Amino acid sequence: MSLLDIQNLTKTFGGIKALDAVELYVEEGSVHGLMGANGAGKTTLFSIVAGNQSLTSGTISFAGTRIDGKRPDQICHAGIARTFQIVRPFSGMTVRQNVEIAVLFGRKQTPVRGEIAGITDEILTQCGLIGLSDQSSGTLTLATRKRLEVARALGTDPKLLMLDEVMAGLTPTEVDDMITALLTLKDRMGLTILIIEHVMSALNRMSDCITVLHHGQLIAHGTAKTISANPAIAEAYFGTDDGDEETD
Amino acid sequence: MRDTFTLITVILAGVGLLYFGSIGAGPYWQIVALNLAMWIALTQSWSLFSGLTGYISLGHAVAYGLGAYMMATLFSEWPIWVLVPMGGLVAGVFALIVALPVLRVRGPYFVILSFGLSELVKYVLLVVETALGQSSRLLFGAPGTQTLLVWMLALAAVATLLRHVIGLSRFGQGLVAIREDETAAETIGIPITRYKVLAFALSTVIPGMVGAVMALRSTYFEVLQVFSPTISFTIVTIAIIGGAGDARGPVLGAVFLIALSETLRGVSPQLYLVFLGLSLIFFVRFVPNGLTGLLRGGGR
Repeated sequence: MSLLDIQNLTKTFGGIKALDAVELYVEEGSVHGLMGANGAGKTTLFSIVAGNQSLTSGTISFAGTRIDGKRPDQICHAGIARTFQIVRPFSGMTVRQNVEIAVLFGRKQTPVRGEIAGITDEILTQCGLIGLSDQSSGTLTLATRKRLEVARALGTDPKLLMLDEVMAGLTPTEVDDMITALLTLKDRMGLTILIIEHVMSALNRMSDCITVLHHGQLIAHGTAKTISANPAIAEAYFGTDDGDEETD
Repeated sequence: MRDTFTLITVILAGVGLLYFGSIGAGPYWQIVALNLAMWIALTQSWSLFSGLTGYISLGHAVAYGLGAYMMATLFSEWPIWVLVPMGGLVAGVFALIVALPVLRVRGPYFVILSFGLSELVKYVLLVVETALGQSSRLLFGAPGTQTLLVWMLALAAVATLLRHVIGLSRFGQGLVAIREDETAAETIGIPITRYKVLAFALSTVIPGMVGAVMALRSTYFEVLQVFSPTISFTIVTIAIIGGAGDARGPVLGAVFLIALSETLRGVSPQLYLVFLGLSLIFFVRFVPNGLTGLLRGGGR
C-alpha cells in the first residue's frame, strides 16, 4: 500500500481543468519528484492534498485513510506537511517562534511545555538555522526563508513532507547544501518526500521516481533516467508550435 | 507566570486607587472613573479578538447595545446580578451565530462587514421598538454611581486579566499566527475557524455586560444612542493610541482618551473632537504601535 494514494484527482476552475484525472502513488520512505512546466498543476495538487483547496472529484488516501474533504489542520495532524513556493513565514515572529508554533500545534499529541524548546532547537540545528533563532523571520535572505519553510513544516512531525520548489532561486552551492540537508533529515526522521522542483539536477540526485504533469494531466512516470530520455517531456517543457500559456 | 503575578498586583492597585480615590474625591470623579473603567473593559475585550487576530471589528457596539437592551427590557422583572451576566451571554451567543458567515472575509472587507452588521442590528431593533410602541425606555430605581463603579471596575479587571492570560496561552499564540498568515497557520495544524469564532464570541461577552451596566448609568434606553457606531470607533481609537499588542495598551489608551476629554470637554466639545482626530492621525503616522510600542522601544 502506498503512503499517499491519489486517484482520479480532478480540479476545475470555471471551465479550465487545472488537474485532470491524475493518479499518483507515493511509496513510504521514497523521494518522489514532481515536475512540469509552469501552470502544469503541481502546486494545485499540493494545495489539494494539504487541504488548502478543495477538489472537484477523485479520492486521496493517506496511510490507508481518506483525507480528501478534510480541513488543513486535520490533514496536518494526520502527518502531512507542506512548504509554500512563495514563502509564508510568520514575519512578525522570530525564526524560533515560527518553528515553535508548528511544534505547538502541528502534532497529533501536543508536547508538554517543557519539551517544546528542546524539539524546536533540534529542528533548528538540523536545518542550519540555530544561529538565526532570534532573528525576525521577516529579515531573512531567500535561502534562509526557504529553509525556515522546511523547518516549520518539520515542526509538525510529518510522515510525508511536500516541498514546493525549495531550491528555486538558490545559488548552486545553496542547492547543494539544501539537498544534503534534506537527505540527512529524511534518513534521520524517517520521512517520505514529495518534491516539486525545476532544478533538474537536484531531482536526479534525490528522487527514486519522478512524475511529470502537463496541463493538468499526468504524462510520464518513471525513474530520473527514463524521464530525462523521454522526448514527450522535452516537448512539454519547451513547447511545440501551439505555444504554452504560462501561468503560475 | 511572574508577569501574570505582577499584572494582578497592578490591577488590584489600580482598582483600589480608582475606587477609593474617586469615592473620596466626589461624584464627578466617580463618573470619570466609571468611564475610564468602561473604556478599558471594552477595549481589552476588543483587543482579545481584533488585537490578536488582526480582524479589526467595527461592530462591537452591537455587544454593548444588546447588553443594554437586555437590561432595559427586563430591569423591572429580574435582579441586576442576573441581568448583567445575561447581557454578556446574549452578546456572546449573538456573536457565535453571526461569526461563521462574517469571519469568512478578511481585511478591509471584514471591517466594513462588521460595521454594516452593527448598523443592521441597530435599525432592525429600531423597527422592533417602534412596532412595540417604545421610542425609548426609562429605568426607574437604578442603583447609584458607586455600585455601578464596583461592577465596572470588576469588568475592567477581568477583561484586562483575560486579555493577558489569553495572549500568553496556546490559544492566543494560535490567534497571532492567524494574524500573521492564515493559510500558513491552518497548514501547520491550527484550527483557524474554530479559533476565530471562539475569540470573536469571547470578545463580545464583557462588552455585553458593560452595556448592561451602562444602561443603569443613563437610566434611559434609546436604540440609536446605545447602538451608536461612536462606541465602536472609540474602541478602535483607544486601541490605536494605546496599542493592541498586550494588556497595557488599552489601559494607556483609555487613560489618554479620558484625560483628553475631561480636560477639553469643559472648554469646548468641538475642540475635544479636533484634538482626538489630530492625535489619531499623529499616532497612526508616527507611533503605529501605540503608547505600549513607545514603552517597549524605550526599554531597549
